[in-house]
Amino acid sequence: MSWTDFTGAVFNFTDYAELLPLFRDSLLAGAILGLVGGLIGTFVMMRDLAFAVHGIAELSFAGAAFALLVGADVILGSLVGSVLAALLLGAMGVRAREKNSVIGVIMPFGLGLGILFLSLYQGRAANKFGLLTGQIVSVDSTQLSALAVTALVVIAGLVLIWRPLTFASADPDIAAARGIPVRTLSMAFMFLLGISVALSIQVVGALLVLALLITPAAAALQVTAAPRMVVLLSVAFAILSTVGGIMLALGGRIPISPYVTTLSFAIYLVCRVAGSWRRRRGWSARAASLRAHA
Amino acid sequence: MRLRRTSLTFGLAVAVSVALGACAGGSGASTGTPPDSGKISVVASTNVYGSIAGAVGGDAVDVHSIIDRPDADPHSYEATAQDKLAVSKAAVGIENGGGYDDFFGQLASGILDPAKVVNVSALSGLDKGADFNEHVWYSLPAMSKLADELARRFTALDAARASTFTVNAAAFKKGLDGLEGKLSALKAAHAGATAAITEPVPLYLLQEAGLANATPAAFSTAIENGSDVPTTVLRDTVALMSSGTVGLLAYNEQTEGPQTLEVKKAARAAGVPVVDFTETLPAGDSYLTWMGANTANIAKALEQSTATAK
Repeated sequence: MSWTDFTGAVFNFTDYAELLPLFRDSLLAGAILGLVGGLIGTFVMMRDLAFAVHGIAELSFAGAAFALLVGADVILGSLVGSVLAALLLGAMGVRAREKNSVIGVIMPFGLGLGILFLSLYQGRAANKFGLLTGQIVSVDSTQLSALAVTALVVIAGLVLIWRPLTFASADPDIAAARGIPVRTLSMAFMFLLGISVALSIQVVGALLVLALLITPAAAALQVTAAPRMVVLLSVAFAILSTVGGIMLALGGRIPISPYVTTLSFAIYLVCRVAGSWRRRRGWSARAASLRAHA
Repeated sequence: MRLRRTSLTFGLAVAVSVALGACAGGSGASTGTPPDSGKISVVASTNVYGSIAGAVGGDAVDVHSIIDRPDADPHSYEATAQDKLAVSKAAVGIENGGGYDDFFGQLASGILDPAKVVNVSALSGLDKGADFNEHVWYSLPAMSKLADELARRFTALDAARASTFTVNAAAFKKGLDGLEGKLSALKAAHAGATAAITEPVPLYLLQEAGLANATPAAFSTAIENGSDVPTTVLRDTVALMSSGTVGLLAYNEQTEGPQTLEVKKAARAAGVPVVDFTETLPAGDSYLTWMGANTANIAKALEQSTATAK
């Protein structure tokens, strides 16, 4: 493949006017996901749950395989599997230091169970899982509505527990000493995380969920420490990655996901460079004055 | 407190998006107008169906096959923006169905009227429960039904060329009949022969050649699911190769892995002919030349294994 072939396949805007209206649902879904991903992602970073997102995504498969075995709806099974996995991770790994090892313990066991269910199932399973992972290119209005309703529920839930959750995420010990129900909050958050991960996977696939829930918040944390700015920047980065990625992908002959993941990675790189520059120069006037007083 | 107000704005933004989404769904369904070139635009999920649509439609159709490379797996294909554009403009869509190319249904949802889509699995009448083998394009009778269905649909869209479509479909079906004749001759000549498979991809064709599937079901199931083969099953499958009862090993190169390689090696060592099959149309082939080559390969393998057995 020559360079011109490559650029022709990656960036090609000849049919743009024709393509844009076709992709309104995809763009809206991208924006909604960016919003939810950016919001929930800040807590994912604060609570050090990046690996948990991956675990929840993988364990939806075990739920789907179990549903296939018992003759239930596969999509519902994957949802239940994700939410159960999230709750289990929340219940078992409250302390930050335990979290990653608990996920590392649960995930392979869950995946093994999935393979067990599949081998117990009588009949061909290869053609039963196609609808489990969606693609951003083919979001339709039903999926968009489901996504929007989930987004509303998740955002409402987050708003309800925002302040205590921030406190409990920043310093669980002091929060617990002040009488904040740290464990309940953790479970509530894991529930919200579980349903948003599971539903987003069915609409856009696991790869984009990881790119939206983790990278934007990680990028935002590189350039600012102010909680409100972290949230705003992470939402902005997430929406920029999805909507920008889809807009760039239109007309190209390759799938949308590499555009979105590359864009969000590029944002992260820029933020890292900017962050290290700022760290060398001091975070802000306030940090500088704090240092001066110390 | 300011944080909460920001969140409220986000909530509103989502609500607005929902309303917009509803509108988008309404207007999206009206696309799919006939092409300006006077040709019937056909979108097929793989180039196998694209080739058949071309054979029946001839110059009167403009065929776009979404998967046209032999190295892409339809079970897990991610569609591109160009694919969606092509589907939105199609007058006829062809999907395999049966869980093989779910991406097509997802892509077509809301932009292509389901009445315009031919679901080949449903058309074939082969779909009977959990054990359904969705690789229906290896069934020649099913493709004969598809040719008739396409001729009917093309005629409804372009009545002036009705005779062309009927003649083309008849020629295509004649080609299929020729192949079926060869397959039944094989069946008669090698009665009771069996075949081993790594995946049930070419199973319908093997059945027409009278070859019973001798592979342990757990083997091909594990290969297809991408999970590891239980050790006893792998042992049985490898032992099957050296037992001298199997006429040929049907091999799917598109999903080669360590465990299928092991079986392939065992087959080579025991002198069992290995016949390669693909899921999509190889470059430069039409459906009939491709199936012709597959049939010839089966015939060659059966002659070879009969010769070694003697």
